[in-house]
Amino acid sequence: MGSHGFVTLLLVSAVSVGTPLLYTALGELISETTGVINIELEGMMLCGAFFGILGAYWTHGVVGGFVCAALGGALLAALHGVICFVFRANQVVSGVILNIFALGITSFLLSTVLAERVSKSITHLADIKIPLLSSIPAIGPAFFDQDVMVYVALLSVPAIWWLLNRTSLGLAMKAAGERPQAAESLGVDVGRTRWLALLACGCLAGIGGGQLAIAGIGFFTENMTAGIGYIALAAVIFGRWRAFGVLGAVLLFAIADAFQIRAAGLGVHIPYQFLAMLPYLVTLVALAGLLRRSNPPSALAVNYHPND
Amino acid sequence: MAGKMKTTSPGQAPLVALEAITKAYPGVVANDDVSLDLGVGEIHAIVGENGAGKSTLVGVLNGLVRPDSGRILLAGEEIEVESPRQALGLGFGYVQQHFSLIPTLTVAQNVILALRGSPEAIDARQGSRRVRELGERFGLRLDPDARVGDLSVGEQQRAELLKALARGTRVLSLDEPNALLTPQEWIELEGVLRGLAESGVGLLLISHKLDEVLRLADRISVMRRGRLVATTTAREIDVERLAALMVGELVEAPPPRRRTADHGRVALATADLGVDGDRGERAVTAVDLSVAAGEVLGVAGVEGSGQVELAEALCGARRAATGTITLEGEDIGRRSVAERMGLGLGHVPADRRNGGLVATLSVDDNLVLPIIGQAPFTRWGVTRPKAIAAHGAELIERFDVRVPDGSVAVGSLSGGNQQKVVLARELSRPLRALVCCYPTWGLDLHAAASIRTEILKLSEAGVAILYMSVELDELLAVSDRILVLNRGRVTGELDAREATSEQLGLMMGGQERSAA
Repeated sequence: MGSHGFVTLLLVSAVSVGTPLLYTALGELISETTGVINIELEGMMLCGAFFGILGAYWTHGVVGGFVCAALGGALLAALHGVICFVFRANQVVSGVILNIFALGITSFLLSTVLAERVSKSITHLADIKIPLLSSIPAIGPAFFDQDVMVYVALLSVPAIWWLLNRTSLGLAMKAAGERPQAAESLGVDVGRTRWLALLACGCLAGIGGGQLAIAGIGFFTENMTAGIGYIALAAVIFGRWRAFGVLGAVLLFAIADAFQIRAAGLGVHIPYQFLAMLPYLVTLVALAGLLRRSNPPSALAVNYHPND
Repeated sequence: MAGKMKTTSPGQAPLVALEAITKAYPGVVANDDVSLDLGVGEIHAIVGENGAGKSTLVGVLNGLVRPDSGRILLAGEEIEVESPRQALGLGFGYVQQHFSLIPTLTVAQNVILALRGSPEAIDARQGSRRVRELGERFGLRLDPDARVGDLSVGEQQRAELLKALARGTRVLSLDEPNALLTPQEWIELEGVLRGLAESGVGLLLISHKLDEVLRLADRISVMRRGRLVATTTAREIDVERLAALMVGELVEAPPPRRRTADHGRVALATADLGVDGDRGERAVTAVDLSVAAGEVLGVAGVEGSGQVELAEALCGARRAATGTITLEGEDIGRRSVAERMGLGLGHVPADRRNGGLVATLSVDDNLVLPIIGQAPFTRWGVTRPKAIAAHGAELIERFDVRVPDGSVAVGSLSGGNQQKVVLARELSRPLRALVCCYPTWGLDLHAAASIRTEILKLSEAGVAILYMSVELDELLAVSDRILVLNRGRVTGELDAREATSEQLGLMMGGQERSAA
């Protein structure tokens, strides 16, 4: 890659940074559409990363790794569902607690179950070069010479758009997130719809965490997500609860993050700490500028209990 | 209205029957051993005051409320209705008082959702065409691609009906279907409902508008405090006897209001007032109004026509986007709520639970809140409970609030008593003008009458009163003049002595009329 220019390198970094973020944000989009907010996205990613590495070690394969990553994320989602839907706790409080729980349990298991030798045995995902497209200047290497999980993430965007806007299941999901009582009277099973969306979110965020660990560095470190889950949460808001909006938001944050990684190579004399702030600053500014016009699902984070 | 009888013939099971339904909530028995049946093609009305248990009963039939005991029979077979979903599957449709549509979706999308998983399910892509056909079949004019949130209330009601009917409904329940409609919209809806009954649908109709019930229903059941007190055919009863059955005694008609042609000088006025609603839309546009001392200006309009926003802007709870507001000639448009109160402006807000009272505080505390900082209620920043209790006791006595004592939480009182607390608080300080928004909303006949009397007493004492209501009869009874709003604009002003509800209805629907 040495022969590539700065823009190409920037985009290549952005896509690898953005893929875990995209999986997680798309999962959150599905969940929030039905009215369930997951502050514990960060925790889901962390569980995904941990169980992804563990799975890849157990099964000696990347596929097993991603399956375990999805299950790890779904496990935390299931806990969230039990706390909020069965015990009727506040979704935000549950999310915050689960983040602390996920950080603690993965750190603990890292020191007891996952020995350091695991890192040596992980096979990386091979890149698949798409003929012709991959030789497009600037964007070719970034979007058409990547591992299979990058392509799956990018194809998920139109797929989820189609689900939400062109199917009756998508209508039911929106109804559950907008007016659960009304949705129920329209014959939508709000409880089941929310459970399914929540578990789907757990799987996707788990895969996002798995991508970070398996395709990224090949091992698990304590608190390795470092706030990406919260940025995914912000990306759904900035993307205005639309699939392609979420893609745009993720790209923006990913480019900001890639810029701080690559800027050092440009020889700019800005202290590293300031550069590292960049993606978070972009998040803050983007959200502050958009809060007034945003239009979240009306019943977001509001639990629904029929016959009360 | 006479001569149509479609009750079930002997020996044949009714379409649907509720038997001995009992449902208790903490502290109140909403339905006490209620039995009621409905024949094929019959329109059966349920009347009663607020809290009589009508909505609970219909909720039981439609799977929204689980009864403690009792049975539901469909064509003679006992059935369990455990959820709204299941009720839909059985052919029970329910148009609730507050519509159960998803405002962010289109009419077609709402109908598609309602039909999901049923034999009549529509594919999302051919939605609009099929929904348009359905609308034509039932005589309901609607644009299938319009977003429900952008529709007028009358149109939303048609969408709600269409949604209920699209599924092949056999039993249709309607909760106060006329509450939000102009008289003309209601007449149109009556036609649709009659057509449905002729095609064999059984209709259960909850209402408190007795004239309309008598005109439309085959049979009428009266509920009072959770019990069914009478079931009769519409031919056998009149409005007076129905009203008496509802409240358990005869209610005296309010004495006609003494109206004088010459009032004092203008107390409260606006010029070119514009106010934005919650979603940033312009809710009130270019309103010029003036109320003289001792005068009652009624403001008519269907719900959502800008009355609430207008009242809030006058009182300072919402900022005016354009124009001026003056109180006795002084511009108060930029004053805070507290300053306007100090100048003698009172406000009875539309939503007393959220806007008027602090539910968890005691009656005494609520009564003293606007003047809590003044002597003798506070000294050196510390409240003085004895003075507050004495103040409370005096107002409770004067306004006849029914409470054991002033220390109980306001949230535990009935709606009528809560409204009396709001009024007592507003009326207990010197006022020059009072803005009341739906002051008798949700109150029973007795409570409403006493609230109206208190407000009218004030006008006789020289206070300017702006009286907003969705009930035309009420406005005609209390007002000197009536201003009509449609979608935030004034469509006309009428002298209350000459106005009729038909005229008002047309103007509420948007028909312009110059000052009478």
